[in-house]
Amino acid sequence: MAALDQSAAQADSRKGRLIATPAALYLLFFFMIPLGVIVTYSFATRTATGRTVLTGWNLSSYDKLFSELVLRIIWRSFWMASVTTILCLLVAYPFAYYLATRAPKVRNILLVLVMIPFWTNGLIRIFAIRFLLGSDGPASQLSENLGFGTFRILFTPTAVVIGMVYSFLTFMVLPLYVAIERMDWKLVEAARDLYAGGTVAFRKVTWPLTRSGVIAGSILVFVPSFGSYVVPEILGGAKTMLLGSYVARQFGAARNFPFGAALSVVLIAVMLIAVVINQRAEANRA
Amino acid sequence: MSTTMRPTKWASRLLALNAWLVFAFFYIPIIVLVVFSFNGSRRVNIWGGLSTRWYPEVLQNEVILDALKNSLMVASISTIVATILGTSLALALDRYRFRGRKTLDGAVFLPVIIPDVTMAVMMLVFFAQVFRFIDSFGPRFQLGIYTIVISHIAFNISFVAVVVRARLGQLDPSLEEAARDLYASGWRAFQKVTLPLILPGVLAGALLALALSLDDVVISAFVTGPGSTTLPVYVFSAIRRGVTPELNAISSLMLLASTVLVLGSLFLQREPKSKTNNQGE
Amino acid sequence: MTMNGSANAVELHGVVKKFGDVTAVNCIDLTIADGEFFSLLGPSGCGKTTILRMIAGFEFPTAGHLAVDGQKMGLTPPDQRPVNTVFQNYALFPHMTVLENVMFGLLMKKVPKDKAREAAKKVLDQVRLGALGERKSSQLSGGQQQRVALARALVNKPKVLLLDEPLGALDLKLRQEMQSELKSLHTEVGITFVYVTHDQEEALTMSDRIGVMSEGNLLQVDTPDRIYEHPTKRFVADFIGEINMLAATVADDGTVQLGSEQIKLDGLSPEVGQSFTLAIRPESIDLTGPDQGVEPGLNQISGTVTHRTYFGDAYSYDVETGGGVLSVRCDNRPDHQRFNEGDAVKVSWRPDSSSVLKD
Repeated sequence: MAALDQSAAQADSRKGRLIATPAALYLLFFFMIPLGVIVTYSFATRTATGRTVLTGWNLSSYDKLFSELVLRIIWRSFWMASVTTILCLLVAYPFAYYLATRAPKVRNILLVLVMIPFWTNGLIRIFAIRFLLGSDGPASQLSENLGFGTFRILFTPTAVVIGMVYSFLTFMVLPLYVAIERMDWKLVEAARDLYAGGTVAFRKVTWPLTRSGVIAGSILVFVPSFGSYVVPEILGGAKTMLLGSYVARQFGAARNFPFGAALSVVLIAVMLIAVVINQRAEANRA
Repeated sequence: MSTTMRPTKWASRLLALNAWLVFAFFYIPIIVLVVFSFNGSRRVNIWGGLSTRWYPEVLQNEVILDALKNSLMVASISTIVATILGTSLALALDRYRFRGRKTLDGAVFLPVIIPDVTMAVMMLVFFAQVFRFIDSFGPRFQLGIYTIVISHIAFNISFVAVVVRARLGQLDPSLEEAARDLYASGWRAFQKVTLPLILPGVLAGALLALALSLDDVVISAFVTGPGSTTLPVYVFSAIRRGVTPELNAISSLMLLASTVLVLGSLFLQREPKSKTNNQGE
Repeated sequence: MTMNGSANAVELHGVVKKFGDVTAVNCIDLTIADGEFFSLLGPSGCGKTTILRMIAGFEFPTAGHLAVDGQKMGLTPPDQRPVNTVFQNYALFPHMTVLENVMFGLLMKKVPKDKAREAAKKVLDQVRLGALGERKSSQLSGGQQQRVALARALVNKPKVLLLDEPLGALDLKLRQEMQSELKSLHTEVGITFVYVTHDQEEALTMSDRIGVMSEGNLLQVDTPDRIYEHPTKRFVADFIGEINMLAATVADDGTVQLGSEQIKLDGLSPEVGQSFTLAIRPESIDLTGPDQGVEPGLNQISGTVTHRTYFGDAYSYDVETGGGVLSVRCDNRPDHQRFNEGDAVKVSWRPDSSSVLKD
């Protein structure tokens, strides 16, 4: 006869599995299998008519990843995502610090002010940037009236970075805010008490204690920036083709599904690396 | 924060300045857009006097109204299904130990972080493949509203699960034990104690799902079929054609809707304040 | 089952509980009588709460079995056991009023609503919270929450009430108040109480019997006075109060040798040649001048005072003797003869007030 506690644990585990099953099956069918399909497609062959045939598996789509054009697109996506992430971090860290150190009442109001744009339709927010920055747009007109002359930054990499920072800044603010807010200030006081100056105390205590927030925020900004599609489509020009748009093009006009799938695998790989980094950081913190 | 730990005067001024610049950055584009939606001129960049003329025009546009109808349908169905599935998933992951739990726990995070484009093309290829398979048996399927709904549920389950799980994590497990101890069956304990206590989290998760579904352009654009264009997909293609006063008006309306959503969500998530707190001895 | 047909409240037979490789409870046999106030006493992590949770049905034994009210529990879930629990953090339902909390168990047992309300109000009166029925639990003080938790459990008239360090979160004064309140409540309702605590004073003042636990083992089960005055294990002696522990041996002629001194033991007869630990409480020892006469039949050893500590209500002396250093506690009464460091003294104690410790 099995031990009572084992039977109880088994019954418990059966119940847990039963409760998880509908959602797990859904994710299996409509997320994991599609993920598998796209990876499979990356090894398939494209016929001359643009059809994909699931025979004659090969790596030619991956070969194409190393062509100069594609490498340049991946590299451009990488550095624009990096610049976006760094800008977000530079702005969001002091911002989150400011939020977390306000009196509770003020803090709650400020948090609402942060959350409103966060929940606002992302497409509309990018459209707002496009409208504002357009040649002859309100920003340009204001600058002209102030005597600085008109400017044209729409359809440049600068506009895309501005748009991505605008879209993803809150993803950086929230984890940083959580990390700073739950930090034990007594530790900073202890450091100050032990003759650490303000800067040293920050470097040796505050920063390490909030590093998990920095990592989580950076991932939440970098990954969507790297695969961004809507922002470069609306704010970028023909010369600033990014990976997201390039992937989409393979499933649209270019009609090269296997190559598009291989490009997606690059995005998926970056995503998985990010998840692993985040899990390591979480494990270190615990 | 202790008073002895105040940053220096200069540092705190810089912190405040940075904060107000961030808020300006967040709000100025939105405010400008809303202001210009009341521009009477057809030429969007030239102020032609205050007017609300674009709003009725937008609200009478059949194409826009159809797209809105599609969006609302997709969002409501996917929210309801994802909330039920996501909440049960969160419960299972938080309260039970079973084989495959760790894998599932890791997999839940993927739909949250996957780039839109990747998910979009992956759903497109998946549906194409499934249709090809089904077609060989006779019936012919094509992309439509239901493919958008299926895709939205797929990512929304995860978002709901993450939000609900955060709430479950704050819940004292001995409350459920107390209910069991007081003769409630497992189901009754859930119904009478656990569910009411995580309800704010469940509703917050549902609102997030609703917002995400109404927000989605990329995935919807890829798995949409004839006649199933959603509002963001419509707006996206309109933006690519150029800025028009109608677009400003639609955008302002959508901004209003999402602001109402966020305020509703914050209202639900707020800590319940007891009115008679100060009557204690 | 006992002979007269009324079952024991709780019985544990060879109960073992392992969490992975860690043994939390190590083969315990225990019988708790009907109506008894039984305390499980031990440091945190000794397995006492695990036993309570197994009786409640939140955990199940790895081996052995337990019975409540003569019924073998097996895999019976918590809601089908005739026991109720007062949780350490009270676990009051925050979304319900005090009255709704107390009515919960009755409603789950399908008692009609008006009857449940009546019963709940009665029990709330009993714990002097009758006026607060409409409050939310978060609006109560710690002591009030404690009493709601008690009422919520007692209203169901369980066979056994399980209390998991219920006074742990209260401050000292409230705690002492609640101790006597709990004790009189126990007498009043006549329900078996199983009380888990790490506080020796709590256990000593309230219990009919105490089980002392350490590292998953039940070391000694006895009445409070026996546990205090005659501990059988070194851990039990050490955990509860202060005690002198001295190495002793039994000589070939059967006499007990404590260092260079010969003493007498009562009732306990270790084997000849065996060495053991003799335990004696500081307050069981009398201190007299070297020439004063001592009642015949007492053990007496002469020694020297090496240290004196003043406690207000008592003096504590360290006395160096041929048998080792003894700590002696004397009440600070008007007739108490005070000794100074360096004074020659005589220590004496009754042969039946010392204990023999195994291991």
